[in-house]
Amino acid sequence: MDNGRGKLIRKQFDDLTRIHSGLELSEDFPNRWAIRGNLSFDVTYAGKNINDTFSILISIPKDYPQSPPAIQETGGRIPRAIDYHILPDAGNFCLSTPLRVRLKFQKNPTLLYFVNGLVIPFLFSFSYKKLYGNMPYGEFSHGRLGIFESYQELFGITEPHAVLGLLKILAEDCYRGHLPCPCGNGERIRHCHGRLIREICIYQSQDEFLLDYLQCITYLNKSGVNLDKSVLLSKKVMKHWKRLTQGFDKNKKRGTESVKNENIE
Amino acid sequence: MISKRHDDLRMLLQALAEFLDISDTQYDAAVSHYKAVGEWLNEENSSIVKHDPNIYSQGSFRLGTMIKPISDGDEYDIDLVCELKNLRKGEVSQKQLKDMIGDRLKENERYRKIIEECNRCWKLKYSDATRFHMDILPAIPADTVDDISPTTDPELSFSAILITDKELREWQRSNPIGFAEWFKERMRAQFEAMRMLVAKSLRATVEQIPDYKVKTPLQRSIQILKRHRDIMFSDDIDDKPISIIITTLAAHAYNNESDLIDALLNIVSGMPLYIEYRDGVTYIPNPTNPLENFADKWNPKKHPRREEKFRQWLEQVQTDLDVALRADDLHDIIKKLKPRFGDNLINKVATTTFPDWRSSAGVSATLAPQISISKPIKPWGK
Repeated sequence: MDNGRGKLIRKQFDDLTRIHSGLELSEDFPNRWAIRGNLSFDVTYAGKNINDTFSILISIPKDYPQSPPAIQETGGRIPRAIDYHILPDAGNFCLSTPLRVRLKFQKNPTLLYFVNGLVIPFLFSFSYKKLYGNMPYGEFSHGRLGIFESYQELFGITEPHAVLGLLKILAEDCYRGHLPCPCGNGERIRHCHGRLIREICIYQSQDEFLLDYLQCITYLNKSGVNLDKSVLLSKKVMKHWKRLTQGFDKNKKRGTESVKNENIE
Repeated sequence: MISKRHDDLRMLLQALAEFLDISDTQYDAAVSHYKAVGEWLNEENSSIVKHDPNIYSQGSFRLGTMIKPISDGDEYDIDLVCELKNLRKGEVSQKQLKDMIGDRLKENERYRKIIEECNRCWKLKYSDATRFHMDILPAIPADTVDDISPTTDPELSFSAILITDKELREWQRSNPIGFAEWFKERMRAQFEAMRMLVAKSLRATVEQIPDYKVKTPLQRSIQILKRHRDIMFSDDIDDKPISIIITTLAAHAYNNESDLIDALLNIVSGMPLYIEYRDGVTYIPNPTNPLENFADKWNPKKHPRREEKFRQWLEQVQTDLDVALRADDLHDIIKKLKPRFGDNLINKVATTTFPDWRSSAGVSATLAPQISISKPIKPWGK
């Protein structure tokens, strides 16, 4: 029996293989889907043409298409190291920060778009760097700095308090359109960054924004940026965070992702 | 052609088990880590040296059935016993015993930083390259008749111990050495034969070959079964069959087959035969203590689906072996094994065993589709 999700995956896979014929769909275990095979592309970008083929494995998550698939290279060409934007443990690509991947994927949540819009650009940049020595469209720094940079880029501002001010709205889930926009241009939020905030707030949970927020604070503190009181979170949110991390610790043995306390120090 | 499939599959599974094994370097590192713990407990000024502390391994590390974790970054759990040979049940409480060993460990600068208390043991979490998690189980000898299970084989009773448990009032019985002896007995014929072979190939005497250098088809089968289980239950951790059940049933079912595939097929079909029912309760007795039920967590009220899932898993292994044996060719076997043991692992295993398997794939030169990149996002790294 094929459930709705299975049907959707099969249908999307048909569209995918019409373009990329070297891929095969497999239901490894009931309701656990994967795509394997060779992915070829012919890309011209910034005046450079690259034609390449990679062996790949795409793992489709249980909550697909709410979450995008995970992808890894299986031919042993890309070293499993963070410098190549590969998570060393599982070997999955760090296509970008989780939020950026979701934002991009949800514009067109299909397997074909995932491959053409996210996977091929990633593989292209790997091949490009091999040939020309640099990343064709840049990269975020690793770790917390990269998270901070990604919000700088997303909001189109660089000043730390302004970035944190906007992110805090998401972390505390307290959007008030009539308040002045934290970016500091004097407008009310609803006439300024409000649209963006309301657009992105559905792509991550409040807890995930909260974690990002704390990562940014930790990074800025460690790099010696003087932060003022405006960055402090409300008591209610801090209490919630404490409960959350305790819960995570307890569940650690059961395979739940643990969020280390270092993030909030 | 059938025998060719058989050969290919055997070579792949053999290499797979070797990949799953911890390396000699890791083995040596683990031994030197726990010997260092033993030395610390036995130092002249140690508060417990008078109780004659003895540290030894137990569990999969002792049995030679340990496997690497699925993710490269995950830790290796190594189970140890710290037995205070000169103490007896009447002379010490469970808490005292636990604290004695814990306190002594905490006197060490290094251990203090990495120690954690668990229900039954002290855990040392090494953050060095080895990523070992050493569970040290405080124990005392069990030498009164009461504490040794009456039905236990007398030959195995010499190593019976009592262990502590924070949640239970009574001392708990255990016998890790006895279990290991029983396990070894189950594969004696193969073990001796293979040890001889290893000795010959190294031009050494049989005595010079340590146990861990010999891996019988039983041990290899258990390693393969454990990884298959890890993958199949990767999103169902709660009902994942525990290793001691797999190990016990497999050792029962093993008939000293010398061929890995024969062993696996026989083990997988034989394992269910050793699941007993006593008064309507599923029972998998500990061979060194028949009163202990390894399946006590299969209680149908608390975990109604555990037994069913265990049986389903065994059926899946059986199906997977059949499918692999009926595969069209080497490529097909590799393809069938990937979802079961992990793509990355199987690729490595295949490349080691058949270095040019990819080139024989007959990769049809498909025309690469032209893709245009617009608004690419920047990669990141955790």
